[in-house]
Amino acid sequence: MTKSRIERDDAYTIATKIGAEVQKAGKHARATLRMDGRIILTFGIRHGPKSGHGHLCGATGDLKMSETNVVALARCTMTKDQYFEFLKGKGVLPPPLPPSEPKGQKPPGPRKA
Amino acid sequence: MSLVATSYRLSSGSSAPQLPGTLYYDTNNVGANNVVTYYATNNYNSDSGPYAPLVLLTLDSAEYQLRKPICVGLKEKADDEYIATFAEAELSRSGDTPQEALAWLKSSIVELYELFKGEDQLGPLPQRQLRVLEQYIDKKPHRAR
Repeated sequence: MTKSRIERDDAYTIATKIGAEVQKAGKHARATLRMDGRIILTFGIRHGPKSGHGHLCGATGDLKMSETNVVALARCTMTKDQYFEFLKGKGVLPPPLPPSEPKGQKPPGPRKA
Repeated sequence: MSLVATSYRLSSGSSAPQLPGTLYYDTNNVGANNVVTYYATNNYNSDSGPYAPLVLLTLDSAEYQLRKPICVGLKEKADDEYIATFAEAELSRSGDTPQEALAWLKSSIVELYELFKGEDQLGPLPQRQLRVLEQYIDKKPHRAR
């Protein structure tokens, strides 16, 4: 059986690329992706430099995509926007929030004749 | 490595969930006394093949307990890499050994439950994950901690 293709540095690269915040969580670390303050996705990062990260791959994996695509995201052939489009297709990204009105501006009232 | 070297037929009075196929209780139960291993005809070593189903009976947490057993899948992904998946909660973790993968999965279940519970708003995936985790996790009563 071959070695996992995804290693710790790939996981950190992905976290940086998609703008996920990495925090220590016990023995390992957790990357948390937020959008408009909401948590969208989390994924685990193992502590060993050569440790495999197969849990990121596959339909039930943390990143929700195949190992080939995870490698592509880590090693630059897949962009952040492409990954977000993919997540949108999977229903992982929420619909965008409606634009908020500038402060102090009243909504337009009925026009005078 | 074989996870199922020694096995006995599952006793009928077990509280563990019944899985399809012929089920066996594994005495080489991945080293932990709170994990029951079942197997039927799965070749869990296959990279693309099915996961070996396991049942977690505790979380090894001082603060949280399980309301009901959790069915997880374990597979050998590569040399020195095992993946434990709680498919219902869309959560996977890996380790150099089955024990490591399961231990990290258990701690992640607790950690994510606490993280999501503390948030005002969650995206669609964490919402789904929290709904599932709430079905399985409960705070231990003070006396039990």
